[in-house]
Amino acid sequence: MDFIMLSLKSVKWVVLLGVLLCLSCSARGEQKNIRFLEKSVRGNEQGLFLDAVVALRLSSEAEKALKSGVPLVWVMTVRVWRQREILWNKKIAEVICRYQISYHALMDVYRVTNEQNGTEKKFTSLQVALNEMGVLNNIFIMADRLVVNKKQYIIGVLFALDKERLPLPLRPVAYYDSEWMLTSQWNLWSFQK
Amino acid sequence: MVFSKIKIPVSVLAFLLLSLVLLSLHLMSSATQASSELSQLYSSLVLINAIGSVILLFLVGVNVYSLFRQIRKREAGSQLTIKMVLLFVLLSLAPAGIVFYYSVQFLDQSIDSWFNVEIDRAMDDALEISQVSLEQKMRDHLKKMEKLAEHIVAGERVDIEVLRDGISADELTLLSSQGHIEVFSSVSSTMELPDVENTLLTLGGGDSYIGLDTVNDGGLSVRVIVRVHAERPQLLHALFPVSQRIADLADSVEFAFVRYQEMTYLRNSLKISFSLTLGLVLLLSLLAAIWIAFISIRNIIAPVKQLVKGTQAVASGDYSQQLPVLVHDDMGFLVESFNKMSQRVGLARDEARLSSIEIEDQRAYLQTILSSLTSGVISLDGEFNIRTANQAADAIFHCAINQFSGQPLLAFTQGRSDLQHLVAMIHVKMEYANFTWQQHVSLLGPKGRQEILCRGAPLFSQRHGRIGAVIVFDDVSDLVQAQKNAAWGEVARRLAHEIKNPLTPIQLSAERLQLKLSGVLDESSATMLERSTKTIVQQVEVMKKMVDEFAEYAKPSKKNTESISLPDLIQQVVALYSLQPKVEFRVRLGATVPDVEADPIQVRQVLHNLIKNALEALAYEGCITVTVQFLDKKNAQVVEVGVYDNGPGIKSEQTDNIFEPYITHKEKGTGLGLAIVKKIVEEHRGSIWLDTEYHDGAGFVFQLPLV
Repeated sequence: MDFIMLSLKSVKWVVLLGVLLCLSCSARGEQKNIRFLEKSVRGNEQGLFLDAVVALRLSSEAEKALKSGVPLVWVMTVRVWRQREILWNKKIAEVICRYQISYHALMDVYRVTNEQNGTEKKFTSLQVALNEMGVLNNIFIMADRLVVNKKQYIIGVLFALDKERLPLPLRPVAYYDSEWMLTSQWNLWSFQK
Repeated sequence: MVFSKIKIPVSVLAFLLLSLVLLSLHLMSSATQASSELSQLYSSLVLINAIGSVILLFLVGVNVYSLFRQIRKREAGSQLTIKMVLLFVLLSLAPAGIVFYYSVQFLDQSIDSWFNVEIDRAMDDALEISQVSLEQKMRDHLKKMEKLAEHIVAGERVDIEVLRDGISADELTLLSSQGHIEVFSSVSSTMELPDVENTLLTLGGGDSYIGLDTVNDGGLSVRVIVRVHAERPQLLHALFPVSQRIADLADSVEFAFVRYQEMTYLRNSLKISFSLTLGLVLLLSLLAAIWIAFISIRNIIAPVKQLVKGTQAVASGDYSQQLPVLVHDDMGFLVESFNKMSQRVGLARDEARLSSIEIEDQRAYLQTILSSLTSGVISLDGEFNIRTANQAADAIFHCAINQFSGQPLLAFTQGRSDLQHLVAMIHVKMEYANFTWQQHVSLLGPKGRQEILCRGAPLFSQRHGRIGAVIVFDDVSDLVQAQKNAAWGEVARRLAHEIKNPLTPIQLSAERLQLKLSGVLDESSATMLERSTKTIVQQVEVMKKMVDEFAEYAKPSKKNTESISLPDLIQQVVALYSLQPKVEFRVRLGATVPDVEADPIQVRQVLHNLIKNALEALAYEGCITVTVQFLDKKNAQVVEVGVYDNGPGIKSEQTDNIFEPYITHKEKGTGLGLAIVKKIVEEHRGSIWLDTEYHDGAGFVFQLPLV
């Protein structure tokens, strides 16, 4: 059984090594191409809503893939934690929105699709399409009843390329190639009702 | 702690781990080949396989480290293990590496073969044809719309249905310049108004817009927007249907084009992906093979290790080592045989030990016997080196012979010139005699003359022939002396009985003749008679004296020993002769001469005899030198006395028997003077000899031991 214990230890080390590797890779590629220009949360009787503007710019490799017909799926993750004094912060809400941008050769247009509601828009210019995709308005985060008065909350938002939606042969490359490290930093800010 | 109590066979763990890895590899392969749900798990599967590889790599690393430690410690079986592991690795790596190389080559070539310039051009051309065809249609629709816009007059009522039918549009909408819908017509029963905002945005500042658009049912439509240049500017928006056939064809062409473009772009990624999968398969297979090789070899080597340890134990003398028989195969048979062998060797060792103890007992017994013998025994090896000597030999030769054990026989004669003749004789006998021999040797040892009876016998063994010799020495000095004394006593007794008894009647008869006839005979006859009887009486007296001396010589001596100083005794004796007018006496005394234990009367007689002999040899005219000195020899301390004269000396033919009784070279000598001297000296355990080195006359030297 000794070698099993050793194996378990080694797995821990490997996982830790992998996490460190991923962090280092993400640190290399993040926020260069994707930045949050604006972000705000507003609340009403229905709940909390996020408005944000994300500046998106594709890397040359990603643009080449898009032009070659590879659809790029972007995922925006919004998380809300309630701060606690003793224990760690409690996650009370998570919203994930996906947007897809694809190129149509026949019409020579870029199509942006909101996967939540199925709406799509066509753009003849890539940058216009990216700008349009980066405008995020009225994103529902959580119901108002979940927000407790005078409690401190932390809202985090992340906008990143969903590598798991890339074509399968491209995924191994996307995990280590900095050209595919298209993700923003976690944007965090406090909120209190 | 729980893990340590659970005993899971290693083979089961290995099987489980390999099964998991194989399952993961299979899933990854399936995910690579098909766009199924597994493709969602592709990254996880790659991670699982990578972790599996790391685990196997770690296990292999631990085993390799353990093996290197074993090699460094020179543990049993480590060399065999490394050889077998290398063989396993080579056997698994070579075919796997070859298959991997050619598989990657085949994949590369296969993937490359999917793409070529002709297909590229054909795909481009197909897309262009589709685009040109659609553009032609779109241009026609634009012309229709432009013509229709020219016919619309501001303010007049427009029959939109007629106009739409006229241009065969699906939808036709007239909008104000601000985007308000004024008139709308559609072939569809479901009235869906156009997206005005989007229309204005699409047109922008231009006069017209034409483009393809997808409709709700997935088909294609041509969207046309033109400005109506009238007094009141308006917009005319229409959707023209694209025939289903054309739409399908265009869609098909676009799908194929996009797919082809995507595949072209993913060509290298595809190669990497396949290579990664193959590489993981190779890596996992190789690592698993090495790990299993380690486990298998460990199981194979375990009996060999036991055997080696057992052999080492046996080599170090532990024959009680019994190895467990783990398996009943050839190795098990070998282990059983080893156990039997070690048992038998142990028994043999015990028997040998018992034999050795018995031999040692025998040897001690023999040693005791030898040490209690009065005869000296020396054993020699085949090279005539001393092996053993008993205490009696030490006593006979006055030295510890055992300290020369292992050295040549000549070794213990160093500084002992008296023994060199004996040893040389033994050498000759040992070298040439193949049977028991015996030799009588006289030695002038540190304690005087010794008569040694020496017997030797060569030793033989059945295998090696002559292996040495044993020599037995007996000091027969006393025996020889006793025999001599007894012989001379018998001679003296007979002389006394046979000669002395008739002498008295002879003497009496001669005196009676003289008495009776002296008055009867004439003067001349009387004179002759008187002279004759006088001669008879004198000779009878001489003979009586001689017989008395013999009796004295043969008579056993009675020594009254006491500590005497030889220099003083010598000076006293020499003083008695100092009145000799023509004889010069020289006395040379040594520096420190210790006293000796001796009978002063007998020693005085020795000195008298020697000095008388010298005086007679000098004819009472010459020089006599008497020396006395202390000699500290290696094994004995003696006082040496020399009596030298400067007379004519002794002829060489007389030297051999000069000390024998009845040997005299003087006219009136009885031949007993030197014999008595020799007898007295030898009775004092001393020795006497004629100094043959002295050539100015005759010289006699005698030594008396201190003890």
